[in-house]
Amino acid sequence: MAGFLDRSRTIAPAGYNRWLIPPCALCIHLAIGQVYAFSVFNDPMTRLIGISEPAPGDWSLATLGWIFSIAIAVLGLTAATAGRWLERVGPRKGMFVAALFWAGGFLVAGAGAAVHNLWLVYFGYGVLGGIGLGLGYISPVKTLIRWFPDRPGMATGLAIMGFGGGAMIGSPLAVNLMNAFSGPGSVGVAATFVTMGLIYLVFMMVGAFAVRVPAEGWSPAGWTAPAAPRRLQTTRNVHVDVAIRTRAFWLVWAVLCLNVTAGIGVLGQASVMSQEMVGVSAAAAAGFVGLLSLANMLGRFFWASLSDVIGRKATYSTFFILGLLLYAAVPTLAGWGVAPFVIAYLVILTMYGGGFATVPAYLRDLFGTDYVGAIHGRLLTAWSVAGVLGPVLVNYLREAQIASGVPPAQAYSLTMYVMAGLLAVGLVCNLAIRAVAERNYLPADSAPANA
Amino acid sequence: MSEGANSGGGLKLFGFWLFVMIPLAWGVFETAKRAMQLF
Repeated sequence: MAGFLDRSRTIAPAGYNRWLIPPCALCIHLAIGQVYAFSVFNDPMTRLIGISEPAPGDWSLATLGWIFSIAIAVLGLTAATAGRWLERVGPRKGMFVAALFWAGGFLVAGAGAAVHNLWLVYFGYGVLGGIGLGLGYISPVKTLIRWFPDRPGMATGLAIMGFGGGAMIGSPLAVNLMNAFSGPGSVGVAATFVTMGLIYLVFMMVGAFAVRVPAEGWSPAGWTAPAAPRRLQTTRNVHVDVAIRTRAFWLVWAVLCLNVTAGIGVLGQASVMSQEMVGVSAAAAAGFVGLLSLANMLGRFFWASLSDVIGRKATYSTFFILGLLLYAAVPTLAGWGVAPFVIAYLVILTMYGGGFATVPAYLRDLFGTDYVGAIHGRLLTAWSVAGVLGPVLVNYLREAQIASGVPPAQAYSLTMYVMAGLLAVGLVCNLAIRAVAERNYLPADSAPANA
Repeated sequence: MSEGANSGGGLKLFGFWLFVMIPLAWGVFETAKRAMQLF
């Protein structure tokens, strides 16, 4: 088995069809994207003992909230630390190990739910699952960039679109399974965890076993690397340890962090915000959240593909300028009715997803292909920071506004202006990005990282 | 889809894409059904 997982066994034969690679990446990202649908387990997990309603000894929502937080924190830590290992072993072993951790996390969490041990659920879904998330998220990225040097944005956009789509599959799948497994003595959570773990294991293994890396020196038929690449687009490579000491890395880090902060806070509060700002019903608010998920997913493919044409810097500048205008306009648009409010948020959410999907290609442009997987892993710490910053900002500002006597319908206005301000800072960071200094590039004859 | 697509088999390619797109389409359909509650 170890031999089969070796990088040398994954080198594609001549004439291999590169369009078989994006579905491999989708097998991984569609599975791990389930993490954003974890909240469907929260309510049933507060009734594991009481079944129909929470009983003494049942877990509270606050303690269950830590499961998701641990998983996202471990994702960031794993992506930041395992990138070098992934570069060495290649995508198949990386995806294989990611599948074992992700599915194993579900099985251990299922055992935790069955014996009502919350620490086991934290360890299973949070720690083991989080490691699977981190490994799975970055495993296919470099492989896609190597197969699609002519369209790196589109290729990674496709995979990262899968992460957005994973929640759309994970949510109804979990609900349907819990309905099927629940009965007078069980809410069906443990059996659902186990079943989903097994389904994801098979799905991810298909991707792991099918993935191939291109042979050294391969390039798409009829395509040659441009002799004079665009500005900010290098054909050389920067080592990961050097890249993270450059100004350009930290500016891209800030660009991702600010773009995600602005979107993630809204995403978490979308239901309540739509009810309070434009007065829609709870059911319609759920529909609004569903629409935002679709926009988030489609934006990943659309903007990342567009970045291949207009360039990464122009793409992020569009996110920041358009986002700034829309956030600043939302308090006014909310007064015009539901439709302008919804349309503004849909556009904002496409750019939130687009920010995630375009960043691997931005890194490829700045630092080359050889270490892009590991550099991307380190950059994802920006996501972890934004995951805390965004919701805290939105919640804190709303509460402060209501405490000072502002009606709930207007309580988000200040938040929107603060978000617009964050995007203005992001625009400045993006515009300040320059090619890395000459001394940072590896010599042209240095051995490339394997994967 | 043409560049580099001289092996791998059209059926294999179609089948693999179908394998990943069917669950995604189902997820999108379920989400779209939920989104319709807005209107």
